[in-house]
Amino acid sequence: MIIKTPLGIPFFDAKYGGIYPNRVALVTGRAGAGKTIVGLHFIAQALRQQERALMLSTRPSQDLVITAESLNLPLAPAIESGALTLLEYNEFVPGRDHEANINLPPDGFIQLKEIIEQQAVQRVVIDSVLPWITLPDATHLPEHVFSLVRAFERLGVTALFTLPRPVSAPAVRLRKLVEDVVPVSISLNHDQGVQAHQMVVNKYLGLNADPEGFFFDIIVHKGIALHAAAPVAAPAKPATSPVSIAAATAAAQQPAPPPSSVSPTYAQHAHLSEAVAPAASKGRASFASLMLNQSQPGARPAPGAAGVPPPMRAGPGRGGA
Amino acid sequence: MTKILIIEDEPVVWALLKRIVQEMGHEVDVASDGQKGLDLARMGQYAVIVSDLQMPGTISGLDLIRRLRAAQPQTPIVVVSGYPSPEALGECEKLGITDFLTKPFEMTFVRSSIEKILKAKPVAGASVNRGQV
Repeated sequence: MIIKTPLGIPFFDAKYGGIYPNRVALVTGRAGAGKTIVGLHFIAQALRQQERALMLSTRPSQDLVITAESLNLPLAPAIESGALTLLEYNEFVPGRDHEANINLPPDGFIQLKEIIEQQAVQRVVIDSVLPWITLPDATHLPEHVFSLVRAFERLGVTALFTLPRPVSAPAVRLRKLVEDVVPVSISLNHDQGVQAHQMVVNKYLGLNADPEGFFFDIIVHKGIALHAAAPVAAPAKPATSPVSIAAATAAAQQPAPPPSSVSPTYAQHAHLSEAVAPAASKGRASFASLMLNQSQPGARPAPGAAGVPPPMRAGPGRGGA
Repeated sequence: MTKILIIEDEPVVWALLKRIVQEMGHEVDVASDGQKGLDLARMGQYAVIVSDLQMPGTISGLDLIRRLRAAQPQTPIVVVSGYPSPEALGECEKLGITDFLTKPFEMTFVRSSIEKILKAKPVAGASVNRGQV
């Protein structure tokens, strides 16, 4: 039996048991759909399980900490202790990397790999993965995507990649390429009719896709919770998950979240969903190369100190989005 | 000193691989095409052969791996390839290659791949100096 890695979202874990360990799962959705917040839940779950985690985001690290705190997912203590590393794509350095030779690994990946290895990271969120999988010439894109996913798997981490909802034919192809090589693919939407977010499981290796999915709210001080009016999903079959029926039942018996009119959703309160839209929207040239800076809030040791890598100076991307 | 053979036609790639292997404390020979690689493999005593699949010349791809395997049946082969087809991956597996690393991202694991191979099994013909590995 495969012992899965909980995603940290109770209704998903009750049904699926989590995602496959040491593999990559894809989360797709337009800005505001909840991709980053799913990533934060995944990180928080890692910390609850005493695992070390890393999140690379297009958003400022401080914003992630604030967002997480507002969802009752405290990150600051883990950052202080070194259990959590937050990295951000925050500066563009055109001309870096090996644009002339797509066979060479990007400097940014080498540095990211070193951080993951040195800090014994077990869970990784790449929010968004777009900078890593964009090339000026799409001829070798399938192999490029394949190599990236395999590299993360070889690192021995359980990873969550997020990707903006595709709005063009090349972007649809890109998502398909990632989806083809990962065992789990989830898309997030916002259903105007139900007034809730929707999580659809497009692919779950070994199980049938779940086109209906879950309706959920993002609630201040609570995080992601099943939408008040939504039916509770039964565990997926065939069950390969260690999660028992009892656990699923217990999850189902949890108090339902209050109606959104009583407890406004996170999006209603914070308006953060779109505020820091990924730099992807800036277009191709923006991802020619990115600088990754390691966040060091609080009293973390200085870069270069024992066990602390220096700031990442090169980005993963070499081409355009 | 452990000797590693790198068969790779792209100078920037073999330069990177060579640097990584030298930093590990091993001796490196580089062949820039399949025939040269095969000649060196037949002559030398290599602990590991690291080979690209796609190279110019009369011998490349799976044919090179087949001939390397025939010439040095006991020598671990690590294939580093940019664009493996599923068929090529399957054939490499049948030929008993030890590891398959894809370019560009996965080739960053060449060091750990070689370390794992050398740690797992002392290779005949190679004077492995454990202190230097």
